[in-house]
Amino acid sequence: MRRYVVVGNSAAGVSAIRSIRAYDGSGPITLVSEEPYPFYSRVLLTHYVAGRVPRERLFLVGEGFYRVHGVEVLLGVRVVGLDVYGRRLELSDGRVIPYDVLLVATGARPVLARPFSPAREGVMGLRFLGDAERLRRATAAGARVAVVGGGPAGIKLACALREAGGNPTLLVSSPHILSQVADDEAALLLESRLAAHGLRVRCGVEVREVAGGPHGVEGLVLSDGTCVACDLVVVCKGVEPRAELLAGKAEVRRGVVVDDRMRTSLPEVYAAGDVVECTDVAWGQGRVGAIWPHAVAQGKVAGANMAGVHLLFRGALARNSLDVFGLPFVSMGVTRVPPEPGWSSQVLRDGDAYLKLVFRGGRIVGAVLVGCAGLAGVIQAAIRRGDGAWQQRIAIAGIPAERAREVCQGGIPGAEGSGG
Amino acid sequence: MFALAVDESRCNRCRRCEVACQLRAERGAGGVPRIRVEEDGWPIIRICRQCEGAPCAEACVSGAIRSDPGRGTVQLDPSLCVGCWACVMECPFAAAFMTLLPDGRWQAVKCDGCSDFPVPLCARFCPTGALRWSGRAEGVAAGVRRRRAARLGRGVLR
Repeated sequence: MRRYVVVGNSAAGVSAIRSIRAYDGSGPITLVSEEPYPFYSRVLLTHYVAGRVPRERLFLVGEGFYRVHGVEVLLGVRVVGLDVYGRRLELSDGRVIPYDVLLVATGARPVLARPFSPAREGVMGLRFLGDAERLRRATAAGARVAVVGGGPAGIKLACALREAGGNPTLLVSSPHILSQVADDEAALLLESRLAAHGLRVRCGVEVREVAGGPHGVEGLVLSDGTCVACDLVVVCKGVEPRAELLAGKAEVRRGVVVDDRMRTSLPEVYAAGDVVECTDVAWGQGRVGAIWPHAVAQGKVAGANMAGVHLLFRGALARNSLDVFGLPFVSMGVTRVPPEPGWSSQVLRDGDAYLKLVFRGGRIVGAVLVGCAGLAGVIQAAIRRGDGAWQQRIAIAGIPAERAREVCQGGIPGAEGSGG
Repeated sequence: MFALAVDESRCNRCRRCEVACQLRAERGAGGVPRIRVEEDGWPIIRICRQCEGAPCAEACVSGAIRSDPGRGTVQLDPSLCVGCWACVMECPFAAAFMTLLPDGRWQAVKCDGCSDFPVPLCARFCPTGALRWSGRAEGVAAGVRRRRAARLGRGVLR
């Protein structure tokens, strides 16, 4: 009988538990998690901050889940040591637990680089439930919040704070928002939507210094010499894998390197979720694609293989979806055409609707959709499939300009509730 | 077990399936129809294939979309949906639809398999066999589903 140990109680870990149990009904499973709660959705935290989702709905499983799946749950405990040869884990409370198969699903943490490091009062990331609760308390008390970072996470948070009645400032170092995942045209459309809803966005400014004392923040000094007064800074400049447990033992580049069965370079040690890096189908190279669907799919693959079932991960694809005050945005794969031969793009515009497909050597490798995201899944399938027939079908030939908006939107014309 | 076989090559774009689904929606299932037939040249009928290991359910961050292994369907609870578009981004059949609510939020809607009827209405009113209900021959239907999915996006059902 195999003893399974899963470290991490979020999307990848829970998905792995489900998968292990689907194939192995009896092997004991131990789950170790730093946080004291059952599995909750980190992605919903911004919705919780916005007041759209009550706290109890963040939890995607109850305590019954662990009982039904026969999982021994160790919450509020950290893993402090890994003995690969003895197949043992050392926990922060002094316990040592043995394993036959181990899953490292320790996730990622927000990057807090200079001038936001070292950690100080009033500067935070938004990653854990505790962060969201702190943020809610602060905004309820009338704190002025600055959000740093113009990626999907920063925009989501700024929108959420605005929706909750606040007046946050979004600070972006690039000339436009979403510089990593979209192109300038799409960014402009979304920026005007943000502006229309009264959200202050300042692009092209770096934060030089955090002003204030040891007990709080008074403001931020920006690269253009101006200051933004604020009581709380939330840094949304991406996340970094929490790979300390495997550092120096397994192969770790930016994230833990895994194969398509989620095996690390160590025997009987698997990894899944935000902690790993694996080959991106659009970029053709290893990337840390810290997104929810990857974590769930990788957890499932890891769990199956841990239980001795051969299952392969279909490959990572960087992608994001976002609702910016009612204007949907989806991007996937490569979104900017590099100035090299063999690359091309096609663009279709109609008012607020914007669709761009990026091709390399006749193969579709990326897309940006604003206001017309209904076909995003078909495009993802085409990117993954990488053949010509599909590409031509969706390459706008199938979507005449006058119908693009309507078709892509996903709603049904004439039906109540559709459109927008 | 849910077993709806979809064969686009038989579809003549009569759109009776859409009408049937719309009528059911108007009679209490709520909102908008969950099937859509685009014009000629479109390679797919936009209807949920109730995938095993459904990518929309894997991507759902709010627990709104879950597989129902007992019935072999994928169910969506609109009250849990936060309108993030993740399911739309995943579905290779473009069969997850978003509707705009009066308060300006998006909400997902998808085929629920007509649990209130013995045969899904789209299949019942399809005159060409593009949509076929084969409740008993589930092995065949599952094979058809899998082949089609494989054609669209490698590994969708894996």
